Amino acid sequence: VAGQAASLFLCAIDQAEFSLWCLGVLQSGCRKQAGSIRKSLMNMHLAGLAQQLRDTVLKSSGVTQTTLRQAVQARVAAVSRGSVEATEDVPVELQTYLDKVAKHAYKVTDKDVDSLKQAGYSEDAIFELTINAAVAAALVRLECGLQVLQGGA
Amino acid sequence: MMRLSVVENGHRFSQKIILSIIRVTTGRRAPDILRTLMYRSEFFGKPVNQWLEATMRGSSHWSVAERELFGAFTSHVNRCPF
Repeated sequence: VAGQAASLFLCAIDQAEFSLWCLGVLQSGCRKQAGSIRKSLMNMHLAGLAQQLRDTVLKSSGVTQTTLRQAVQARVAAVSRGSVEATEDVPVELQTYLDKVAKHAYKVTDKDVDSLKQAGYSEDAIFELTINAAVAAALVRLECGLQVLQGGA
Repeated sequence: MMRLSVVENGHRFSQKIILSIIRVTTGRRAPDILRTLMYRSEFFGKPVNQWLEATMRGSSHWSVAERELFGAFTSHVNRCPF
C-alpha cells in the first residue's frame, strides 16, 4: 500500500511537471508567435514607407508630368535589374543620364547636367527626374537584397 | 558645390535661416545632403526621412551602429561620400 501511494504521488508530480512543461511550451510558442507577428507588422510598416516614398516622388506636384516620372522609374528599374530591354518611353536625351544614375551615379558630371539644360530641362525638372531615378534604383537594390535574404536569388 | 543652383540656393526663407545658423555655428557650409533633403522637402526630404528614421533608428535586430556601418559600407561601394 505504501509502495502504491508512493507510486501515485510520484505520478502526480510527473503530471504536474508535465503540465508545467506544456504551459512553458505554450508560453514560448506564444512569445515566438508574438515576435513573428511584430516582425511582420514592422516589415509591412517599412514596405508601406518605401511605397509612400515612391508614390510621393511620382505624384507630388512639380514641373514634370507624372507619366514622364513613371517612365523614368520604369526605365531605371529595368536598367538596375540589368535588363537589356530598357523601356524606350523616355526621351532620348534623358536616357544616357538616367542610365548613369541607375548604374553608377558617381560618374555623373557637370557636362551631363549641362547637356540636359541645353536640351530644355529646367533645374527643377532635372531635380525631379533625378530623384525619381535615384528612388527607383534604390528600391530595386532593396528588393534584390531582400530576395537574397529570403533565399530567392 | 551643387550642380543645380536651385538646390544650392533655392530654399524657403525659414530653411535659409536654418542653413545660415548651421554655417555660423559650425563654421562650414551646410552639407549637400542636407541641402538636398531640405529643398522642396515635401517632394523628397519628408518621405525619405520618415523611411530613414524607421530603418536606421526604428526597432530592429541590428543596433544603430551596425546599421550605420552597413550604410557606410554601401556608400563606399557606391563611391558616394555620404
